[in-house]
Amino acid sequence: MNFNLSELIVVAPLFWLFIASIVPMTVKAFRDGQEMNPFTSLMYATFGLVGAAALTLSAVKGFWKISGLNFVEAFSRAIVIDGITVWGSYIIFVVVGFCLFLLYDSKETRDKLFSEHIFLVLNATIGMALVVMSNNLIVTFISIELMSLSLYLLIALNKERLLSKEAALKYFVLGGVGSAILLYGIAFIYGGAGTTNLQEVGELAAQLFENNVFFRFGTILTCVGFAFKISLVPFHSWAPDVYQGAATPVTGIMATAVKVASFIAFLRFFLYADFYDLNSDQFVWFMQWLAALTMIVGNVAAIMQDNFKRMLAYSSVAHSGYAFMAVIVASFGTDSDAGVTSLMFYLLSYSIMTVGTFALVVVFEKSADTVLLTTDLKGLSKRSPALALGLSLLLFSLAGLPPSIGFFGKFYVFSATIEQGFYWLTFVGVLSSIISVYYYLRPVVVMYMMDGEGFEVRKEAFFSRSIVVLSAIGVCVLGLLSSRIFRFVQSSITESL
Amino acid sequence: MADIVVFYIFAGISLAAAAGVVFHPNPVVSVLHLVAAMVGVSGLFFTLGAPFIGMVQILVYAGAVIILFLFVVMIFDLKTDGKNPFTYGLVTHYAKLLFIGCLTGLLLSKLLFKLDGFEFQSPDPLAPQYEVRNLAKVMFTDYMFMFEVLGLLLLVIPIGAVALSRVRGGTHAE
Repeated sequence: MNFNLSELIVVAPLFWLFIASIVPMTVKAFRDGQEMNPFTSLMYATFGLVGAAALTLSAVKGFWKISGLNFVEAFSRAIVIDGITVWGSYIIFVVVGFCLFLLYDSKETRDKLFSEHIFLVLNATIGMALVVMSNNLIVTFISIELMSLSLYLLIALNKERLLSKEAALKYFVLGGVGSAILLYGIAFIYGGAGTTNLQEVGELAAQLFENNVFFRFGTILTCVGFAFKISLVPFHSWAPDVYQGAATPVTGIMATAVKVASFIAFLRFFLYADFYDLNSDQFVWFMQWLAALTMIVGNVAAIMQDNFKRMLAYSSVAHSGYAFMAVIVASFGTDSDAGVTSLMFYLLSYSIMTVGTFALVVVFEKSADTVLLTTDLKGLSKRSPALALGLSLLLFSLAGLPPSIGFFGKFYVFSATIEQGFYWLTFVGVLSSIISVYYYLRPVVVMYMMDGEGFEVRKEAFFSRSIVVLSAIGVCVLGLLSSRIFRFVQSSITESL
Repeated sequence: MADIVVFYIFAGISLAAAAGVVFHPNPVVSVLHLVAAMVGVSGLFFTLGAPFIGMVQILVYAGAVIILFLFVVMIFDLKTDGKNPFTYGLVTHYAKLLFIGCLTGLLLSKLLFKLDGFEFQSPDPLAPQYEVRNLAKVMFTDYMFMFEVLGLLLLVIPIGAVALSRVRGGTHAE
């Protein structure tokens, strides 16, 4: 046997999450199918997330201190916990925690099969936490599948509406194709490199990429598979329909936590490879065009939406483009730490802003059939000044206006790309973020300048309203502290204890 | 020499059966052709010295998955009178031919004109990990964690499926 108890402690957060996820369902099974009080289930789930976060921290502190290194590996180097893992899993746990409260606030998900929702959400979280830890392409694939399968089911559970079934089927089929392409690519990479361990592949990558057609083919296919998962532009067409058809809290998870996990998987795929000394620059051109197209198409398409949720979906596609610029820096730039740090900071800022805006959608949703148009927000500044101000701050941050955290997220990404010499890509990024100001400010204009009866604020959605306000405060405070946070992220990723 | 003859026999079976899947108008017969194609592919695995994968190919694909397909196709009871396996639109007809032609040309050009860099890391087929016993050892030591996570994946699927069937309307929309 070549594993021991300490390796189980490394993955203890996952065990803890799993145990918390089955409690509400087990109780339901012993009570003849009668649900637990939803609030109790919610507390179990929150307890699971908090415990998992604490266990991650203690594992990190313990193992890093014992070994003196800033990472710990387990299960024949298939799992690694380093700075990226810690930051990634914290972002995921916090965002999923917020979305659990949104699930509780949303009438559709609370009244029907709440314990199953909790189970699926927490298992998707196990998948995401595992993606972030993964150091092996097999683990990456299995955990992406665990995450995606839970999401397909969550989307399909959303009431018996035509739209949700369409969304679930579309996501299932397209996600299945994406996974198949990813797995096909991984098989070719294994054929070329003879291993699936990411570090070992990375050491061989640059040399094999030039000399071995199979490896090149596999790398491109794997990139396409990941691009499906993070909705980069030629592969983004599922995103708006799926985001619209899913229950809003589930959309919140997909737009934030799942995206964070998939981005980190993509990042790890490139992190150890020294692609910057490739002789041909075709590959980096391909990646740059993916990022540029994503930003342009995402922002231009978002202008044309009057459905608030669809607008957010296209905005999330556009933000994938900005974050992907940081991945390009990490993989093709000489200073990969700059890329990694700016990516982590960007994902942090993006998650906070986006989860707040989706919480606002939950505040207005009386039933799953409610369609929130941008014009339905009119007169909100009179009816609920706090919500209007909170949403305005979140939208300013998404547009990247200073001094919010969204501005600093973009600032660090753009400065990293300029330092590494990706000038035209940075130009496209700045230009498209100027375009985005138009559609982000339109809801603000509607809220403050237009009078009239829009949608009513649901009084019972207490948690969602709090999350809007909390994330708005977070956006401002973290924005003011951003240089300190950036240095903190940087030190936890690059330095050992 | 015998290797090559056996290879061509199995490859011929798979190719002919795969063509049958595509061209036969009756879906039930198509699925049966798929079984034959799987058996051909599994024979290829045997000749490559990978008996375990060959057996799994027969047991899992031909034995379980395809039979499931067959049941689904039979339950749907598709009427196939006078239907062609392809639609022949005015434009799409030529577009399809064009794409198939391009793809075939690409594959043939790669095969006929030998290019550099077509090298797999080819492990020794007689290496010990190709024995089923050693495969099992590796699976339960080096890859044990992945194996356990797959168990979790398999747990999520039935629970989700049961929950889905309990939603009013189930898999069908209002």
